[in-house]
Amino acid sequence: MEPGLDVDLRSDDLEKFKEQMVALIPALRAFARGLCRDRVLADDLAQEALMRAWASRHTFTLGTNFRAWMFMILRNHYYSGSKSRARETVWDPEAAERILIQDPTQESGIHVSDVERALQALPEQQREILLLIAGSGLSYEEAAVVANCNVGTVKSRLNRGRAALKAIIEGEDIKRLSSPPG
Amino acid sequence: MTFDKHRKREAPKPPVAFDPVEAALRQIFDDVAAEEVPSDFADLVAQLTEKPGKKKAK
Repeated sequence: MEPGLDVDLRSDDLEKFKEQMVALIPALRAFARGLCRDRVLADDLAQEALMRAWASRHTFTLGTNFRAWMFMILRNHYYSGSKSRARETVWDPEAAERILIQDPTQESGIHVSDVERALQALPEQQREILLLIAGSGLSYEEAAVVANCNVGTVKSRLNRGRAALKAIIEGEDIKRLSSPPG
Repeated sequence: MTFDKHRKREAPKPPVAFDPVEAALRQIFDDVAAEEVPSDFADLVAQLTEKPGKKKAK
């Protein structure tokens, strides 16, 4: 579809659609980064999602959940096209630099970097649900739309993801404490 | 372009007590969302939303 091709949306609806799309770019970048763990690939993924959303704008029902719809487009594109490339990517050095200088959470002693590393060790289905709900603040229902599953599955993946994250982090703590100093 | 860095979270939150791991997950997400958006996103949006047949002024 050509850019600017007039479809079913009226011009004011089109403007609203554009505003919503632009406003969501930071969240799309964050979700994409969480999925593919690479800054450049994530931005490519977010841009591809924007292009696909624009091309499919006539299929979006105004008044329904735009955020879930956009996340779903991004997520579907990730799983359909860029997944194999994303698997080959390595840790983002800029992200690593950033998280290494963060202080541990005062009350818990949990480092954000520990959580980020543990997140990457999770199965993709659990990771995406954690990103959508704990990261982005989506409801169970919205996450179910994005992940194309039912709410029960979302809750199950979320619980298993949380438990796995904590197990990985606690395992790292045990390793850290038991390793010889120096 | 105006981005939605500080968007109020309208969706109902899952009823869970404070959890430092979840707080860290939110921070991971929010840190990326708070980054400056590269200019090529603005270029892309402009390109997508350009009216057909509209010529750029010289």
